[in-house]
Amino acid sequence: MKKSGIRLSVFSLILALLLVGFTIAATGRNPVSVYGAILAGSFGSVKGFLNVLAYMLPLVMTGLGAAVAFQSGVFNIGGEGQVLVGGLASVIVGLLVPFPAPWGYLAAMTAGFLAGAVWAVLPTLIAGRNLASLSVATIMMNSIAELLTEYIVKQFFQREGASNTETVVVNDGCILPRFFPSTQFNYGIFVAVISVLLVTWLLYKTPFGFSLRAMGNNPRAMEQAGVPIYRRTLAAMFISGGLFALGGSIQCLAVYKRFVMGFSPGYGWDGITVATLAANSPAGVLLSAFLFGMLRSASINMSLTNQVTTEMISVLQGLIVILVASPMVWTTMRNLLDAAKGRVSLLFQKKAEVDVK
Amino acid sequence: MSENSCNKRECDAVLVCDDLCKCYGGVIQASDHIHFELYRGEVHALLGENGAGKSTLMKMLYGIEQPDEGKIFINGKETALNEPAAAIAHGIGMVHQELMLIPHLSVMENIILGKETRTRCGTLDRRTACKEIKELSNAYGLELDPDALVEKLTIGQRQRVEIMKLLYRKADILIFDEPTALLTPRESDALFDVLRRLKAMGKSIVFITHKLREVYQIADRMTVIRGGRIVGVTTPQETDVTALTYMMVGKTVSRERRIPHAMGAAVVLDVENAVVTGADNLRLVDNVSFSVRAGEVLGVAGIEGNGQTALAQAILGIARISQGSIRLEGRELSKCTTKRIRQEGVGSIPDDRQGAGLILSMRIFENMILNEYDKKPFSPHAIYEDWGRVRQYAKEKISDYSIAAANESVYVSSLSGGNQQKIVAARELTKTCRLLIAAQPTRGVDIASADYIQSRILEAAAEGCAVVFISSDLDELMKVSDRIMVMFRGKVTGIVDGDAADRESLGKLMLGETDGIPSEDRNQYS
Repeated sequence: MKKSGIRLSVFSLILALLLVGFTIAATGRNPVSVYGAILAGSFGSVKGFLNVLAYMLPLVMTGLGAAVAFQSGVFNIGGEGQVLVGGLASVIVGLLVPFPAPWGYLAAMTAGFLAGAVWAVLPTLIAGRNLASLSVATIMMNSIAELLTEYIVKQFFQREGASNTETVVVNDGCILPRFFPSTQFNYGIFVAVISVLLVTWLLYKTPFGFSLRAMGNNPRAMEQAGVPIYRRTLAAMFISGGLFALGGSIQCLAVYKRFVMGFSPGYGWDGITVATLAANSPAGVLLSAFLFGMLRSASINMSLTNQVTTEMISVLQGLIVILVASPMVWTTMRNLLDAAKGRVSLLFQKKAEVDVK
Repeated sequence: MSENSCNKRECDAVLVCDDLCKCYGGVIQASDHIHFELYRGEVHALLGENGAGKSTLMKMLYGIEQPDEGKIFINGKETALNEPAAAIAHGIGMVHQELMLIPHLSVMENIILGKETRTRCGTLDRRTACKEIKELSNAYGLELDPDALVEKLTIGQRQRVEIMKLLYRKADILIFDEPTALLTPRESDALFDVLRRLKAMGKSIVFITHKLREVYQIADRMTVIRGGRIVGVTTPQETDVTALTYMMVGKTVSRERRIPHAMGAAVVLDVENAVVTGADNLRLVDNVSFSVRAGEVLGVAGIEGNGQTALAQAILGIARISQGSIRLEGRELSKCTTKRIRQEGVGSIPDDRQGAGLILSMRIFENMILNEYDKKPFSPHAIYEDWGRVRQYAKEKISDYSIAAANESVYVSSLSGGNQQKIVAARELTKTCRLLIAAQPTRGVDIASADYIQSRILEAAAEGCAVVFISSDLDELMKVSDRIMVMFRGKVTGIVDGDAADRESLGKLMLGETDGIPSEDRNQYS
């Protein structure tokens, strides 16, 4: 991650917190106590902290998926669909495969990864070499994924007597275990940490990863150098889609132990946000996913304690992204600051001149 | 020059810059106490290398940048130019290097854009606008059809539209930023005629360039800038080319034609009847045949956009030929992937340095290995990139090519054009390079670096590398080439011997007039 990237993210974060603080104050509540409650909720108790980690897990995976795609210059906006398809594939394998743990859930996760990867490669094949139509194609695959998963569940796996569209619980060996029964924090953390390490290594330590990053920065230069751009695009989509899908797999196998229609509150979309705040660095994804986990955990507790609506958290998330994605804000602020400085020093100068006279 | 006339001229100065200073980032002194005077009715050449501070000075005159110190006087009055609109209001106009026109609009619409005449109802008054434009074009001898679409015009005609834009806004001081960069010799001459006429009508002209030949053709006086400072103000009569070059560069640069050396007998590149088809079934490269021998430098002349880029891409396998063949030492290349072609020892300096030659947002050492990142020794096995080795290699190349950079981790975007191009050259001119496609390798590069890059390319040729040297600068081509091939609308209009080439006949070939060369020459190559 470039230094400027870190600076921009931290600055945007602080500015967003300030702006939302003002908004909270305007509605007649104390922003300090609200932010205090978020921190207390996350770090005040072991259970609270583990809950934050649990909320973080799917976001780490989708954040990594987005980071790989963006670093390669490929706009995979189909993350949400890949999450759904990955979740369903894992659950189907979980229902059909009788393996004991850990083989059961490993098989289910692998199926999830592959399903998401294929779901991402598919629009790439359709779109061909045109990158602009690729983002449109991936985005369209989201709706297809949503309806397709619903159809498959209803048609083949619908649990008798359930009012929701959902499957029955997967086989024991395929449930991704929790560390403590009282929190949702689960073995997915191993998947997340290993994925962060693997993606870091892939992008920064291997020639293949270098070619992906270089392509992301300037595909025409890599074309000149003889790198097959289309094949690399397919590869980037494969990896990205697989990582997105694992977010869905973790959520389905560990938290719900089944596929429930609508289990994802937008992990695929949040992944893009997480990656943006992390400036697409895998290690940064871990941090920003933690932050978003905190906010998500708070948004569920907040409305109970401080009577700040949960929407305020969404506003905060949105603001952070707008600020990170708008570097001009940063420049404008700096120019304003410089101008203010100049005016102040001019004032002092004039004062000094007057004093001399 | 006598005291008297000098004083008279002082009064006639329409534009005076007094002690202009401009600092970027508090360190780089882009403009260091510059004193610049422009007299009424003169063509004043502003000479300097890239990065010498010409553009900074012009940006300050055009209101894009504000000076940190110093004053600007227009017609004797101190004037603050805070934005281009202010400059235009004071009668200063600029013709940018990249023309700023809207292709889908007509000539008239482009000219009046931003200063539209209105009828009483508030709608666009086309008739008055057309009349005014016709009057202007008659007065200044700029032939233009107000209703023609700009996209249908040649570059030279588009430039006239730009000039008309300024005249329409009643500009008295016209700044031309390297106006001949994209013109053919003949178009340049036409432009100079226009400039002379403008001068005769009392307009004052600043002519920014780094081409010395033009200075002697058109300038009344010239100011040389180097490193943000004025090195001298002189006239073409007082200073010869050598002295002027020395003023610009600060050292002597050879402008002589290189000494011919022995060429190998082996044909390295053999292109036969190659055709590249672009959009709309347009033939970008049309039935082109030529061959290059080991150690030979084949210059490719032509106005930009006449198939040179497509030809380079076809040799590299980025564009595909639909007919004909391209052979490297007898082996067919046209079916191979770019990767394979690269492995065969084909190097490429692309004409779009920043768009295709480099990755500006990455570091020097990363840019040094774009072709070889996955080969030994940089990648000892498929899953490991030896960055230590890469950095070491980059360090060696930086000192070998004397690239001015603090270290190998500097981002390429922060380097000057000359140093950027040296990185491309350093990357492409490896020991295994048997054929180099160098497209505009010295464009936008300062003279010293350009000279250096040329000499490295010639060195490689002397060691047996075949070179295809594409350039729109005829002087450069005549300096480096053994033979010069001219392209027009995708076709080869002639191949002439480097020793026998002269600007006039090459210029004719560049416009597709094949009667410029003796007929036996043509038969030999067509």
